[in-house]
Amino acid sequence: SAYSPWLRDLKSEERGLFLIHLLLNCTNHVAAGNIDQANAFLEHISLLASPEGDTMQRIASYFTEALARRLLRSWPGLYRAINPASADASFSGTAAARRLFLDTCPFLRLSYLVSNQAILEAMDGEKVVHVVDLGGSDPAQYLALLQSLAGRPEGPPHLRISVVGEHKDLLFNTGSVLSKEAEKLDIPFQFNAVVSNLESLNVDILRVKTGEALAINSTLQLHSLLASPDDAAAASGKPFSFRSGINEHLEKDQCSESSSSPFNFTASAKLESFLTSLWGLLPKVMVVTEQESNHNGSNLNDRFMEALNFYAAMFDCLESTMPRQSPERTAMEKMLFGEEIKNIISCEGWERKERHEKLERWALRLEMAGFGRVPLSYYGLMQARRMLQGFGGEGYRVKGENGCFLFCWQDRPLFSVSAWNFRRFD
Amino acid sequence: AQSDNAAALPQMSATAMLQKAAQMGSTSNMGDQILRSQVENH
Repeated sequence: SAYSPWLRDLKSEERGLFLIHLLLNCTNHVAAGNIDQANAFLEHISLLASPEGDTMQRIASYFTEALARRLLRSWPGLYRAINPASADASFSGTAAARRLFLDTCPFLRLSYLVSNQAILEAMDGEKVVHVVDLGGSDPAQYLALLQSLAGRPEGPPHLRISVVGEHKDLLFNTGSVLSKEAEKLDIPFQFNAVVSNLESLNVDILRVKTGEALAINSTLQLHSLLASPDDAAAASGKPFSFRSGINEHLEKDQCSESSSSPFNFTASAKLESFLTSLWGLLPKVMVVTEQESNHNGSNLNDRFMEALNFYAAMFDCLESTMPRQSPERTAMEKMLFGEEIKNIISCEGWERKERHEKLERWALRLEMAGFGRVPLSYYGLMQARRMLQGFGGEGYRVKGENGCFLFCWQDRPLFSVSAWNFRRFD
Repeated sequence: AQSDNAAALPQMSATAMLQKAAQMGSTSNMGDQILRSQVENH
């Protein structure tokens, strides 16, 4: 390679900038289907990227893997031969990585705290309460909810918790942990394990009864329902230059999105009908946590740029929290974020599940399905900020915006929480 | 091995690098600029 003589001497900053340059060029070639050129860039990047290096080297290694996979997918035979279908094999690893993320970064705990507070406020004075969780796998949120309900001045309600999930063992574990806690706290409690994925969930099996007050909770789940088969043709697109690519993206991030119309999104039949069926259950509150980024564009270059910015902040956040040699950090980067990056960049159609969208689009989708916004309370914001103080990490922030909360690393929002009601208040 | 010459200097975050890359302008110019700064520094 023409670069290799001086590659070894690059300082972190120069190497990072050079990696960005190579990555964006490589993406242009991948999007245009120029396999030879893309291959040449991948070769250069491989000399510089490393999953154990500095932040940009780590990011680059996951994004190049994703680009390479995308190319390889044009030969399904080759691709399948080296990637045999074994979805379940990696499941325990993913679950462990998610647990690590819960323990090392405050985002999920903030989401649990704020969501529980919204549920408590909506369930104030209710005697029979049903909480439906759409795919949460961790009992931590509901342990906290049980404790709060036990401390209500009017006493705890009769409580039923239904958790939707694909993994039976995990659901039963959650059920037994929660049942024990409910018994200890003397709360009349019933656990309902709903073994199903979200796509094939028929809300009838949730057995929502008249007379019970319903709360629905979804943490990082709804975006998978945006998957649709129809975007394969639009997948490749015009190449970007820095001027129209990276600058535009940064500007968009900084000055709220006014340039990209929130109305400019594709309707999703699957999500629409799912939201409508949830609305039909008349929930008193539905709390939604989602990644705050637009990883659902049809153009690969746009998606790449958005994802690069989002995961740069996420990896920066881990860099500030954990040492580079930490195997736990590598596990999270590989099993959680690396997998998401792979899905965003290399998949299309039904297989592309990580279709993160920003809060304003979720708001439109939910409003179109008939939901009205429930403003999150100031008390919830104070609780969230107190939790962050206790956590001690500099750089994390909670921002209130139009009655919703954004959890940020530095100035960059990474997650949103919003609450909804079947009834419009306006 | 490449992270060894990072020394003890505080490092630029990935977010800051992306911002700097954006300021440096077009993709092709950026490669040139980095190359040039390399040549000048050695």
